[in-house]
Amino acid sequence: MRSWLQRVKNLLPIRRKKMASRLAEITDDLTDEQIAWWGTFSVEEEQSRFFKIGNMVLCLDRYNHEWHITTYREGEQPLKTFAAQASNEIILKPTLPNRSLLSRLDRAFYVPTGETLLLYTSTPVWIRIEAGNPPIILDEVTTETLPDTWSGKNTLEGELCYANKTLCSPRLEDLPRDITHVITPVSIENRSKETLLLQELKVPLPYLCVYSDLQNHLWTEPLNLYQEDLSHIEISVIKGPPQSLKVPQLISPARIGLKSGLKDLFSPFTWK
Amino acid sequence: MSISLPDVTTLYKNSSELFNGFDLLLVLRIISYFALGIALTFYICRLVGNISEKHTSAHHSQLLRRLTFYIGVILSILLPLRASGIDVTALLGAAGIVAAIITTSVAFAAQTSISNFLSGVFLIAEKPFEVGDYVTINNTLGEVLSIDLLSVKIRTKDNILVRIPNEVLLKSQFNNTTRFPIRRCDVKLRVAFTEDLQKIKRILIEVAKQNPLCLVTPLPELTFLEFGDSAIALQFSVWTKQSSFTSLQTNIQMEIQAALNLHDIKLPIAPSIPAPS
Repeated sequence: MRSWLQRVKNLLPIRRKKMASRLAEITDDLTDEQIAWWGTFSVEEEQSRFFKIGNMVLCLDRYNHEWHITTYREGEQPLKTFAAQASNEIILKPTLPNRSLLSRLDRAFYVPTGETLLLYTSTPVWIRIEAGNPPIILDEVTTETLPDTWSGKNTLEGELCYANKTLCSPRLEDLPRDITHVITPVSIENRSKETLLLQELKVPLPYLCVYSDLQNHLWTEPLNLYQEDLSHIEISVIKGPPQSLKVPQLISPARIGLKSGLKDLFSPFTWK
Repeated sequence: MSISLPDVTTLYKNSSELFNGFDLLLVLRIISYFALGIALTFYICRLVGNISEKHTSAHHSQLLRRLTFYIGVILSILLPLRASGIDVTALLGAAGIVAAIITTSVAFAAQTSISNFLSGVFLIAEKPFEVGDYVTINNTLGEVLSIDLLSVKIRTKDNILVRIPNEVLLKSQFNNTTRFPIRRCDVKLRVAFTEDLQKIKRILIEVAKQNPLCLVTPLPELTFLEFGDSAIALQFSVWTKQSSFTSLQTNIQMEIQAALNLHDIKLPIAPSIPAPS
């Protein structure tokens, strides 16, 4: 971490002095404490603001009618320039990826008839950067690059998803719970006459919101899944944050409004 | 089909009414109404196109625009004449008679066009491809620009316009390479008989894992094709998004070559067959 930060300090000589001092402050603050990075911030013209979010550093520069957004990761430094209105306020929000997420289980689970299984999935967030009044979206930055995958009955019917690098698990402590990951509780109830063999799970992220709790942990709404028979799956998204959260706060709304018909979102079930 | 001879006297009477005592003002009025009608037709066509693009495919939107245009032109001709007090029914009748003569006389010569037209109707109903799809027809690969009633127009990758009659399309096999959202990329390679195939499989799977364009599922696959004359023929298949196929096809083969070189795995050269003396 420190070696590539040192390389960053050698770049962009015009801003070197300002950025180097800010980066030094950031590296000195490396702790395990979970501090919320989201919110509304003010950046005056000809000034910069740095945010350390997980393993990356986000740099926002404000110039006359321009915003410069730079992300610093290992060996990656893309710079984007945005035309902007007069407002100096910038809003950072954690949001969910724009596709469903396919997570494998650490081991296959058999869910007998009448039984319920509670699983948790952990999703790396995207950072939504908004500016202006009313706020408009300037950019969305990924905190982790997820590979593409296909989920469906065959190569004709299905959808493109992201493949989760972390496994879903019935134990919350097995999952990464830092400020760059969102937890989704999924309850699967087998109401059919057959035993359900569960090997992977697809979470419909575009339909979910992001909430935070008192400790700044990020959550989505819980999902309930009822398997009635081999061809019929009932999915319900319980509106609102998980009930166990104390003082939950809505951070980001869902990308797609929740209407009826979330069927076939969990097609990677296998029946035994 | 029976054909009645045209009623020449009726035609003469209508023409006399039109041109006897030549009225310049009437003619100018008809022309201005016609011009207004054409301008309105173009405006309505654009409106229909904008609305239909949001609700239907590009192909259907194109057809609706054409239909609107033809109806607009016909009305732009007939309505000004009628508004100017000219009896168009006789003209239509005369035109119908003339059309019947023309249709009969060119019926035999227009067989191909009729066949293309009917083939176009079947293609529109069947929808094997749409505007914007990439298709291969008779070894011609290109993007479908338009699906008209007589032909389909394709733009090849080197920017050449190819016109293919609908009749040819209906009779031949063609491949739509962009119909489905994902596509498989096959890489054929030959390795020496002495190579460790399990090691090669591991290397290739790792190359696919590292390439961001390869989908995680469906899983990459290595298929043993045959024991060739001088080498073992293998096929390595990976899946990717339709839009990434061309990029993947090039860079994964380069990555495979680099990975095999790194592990000292040489791809054998096929023996050349000497020319007969």
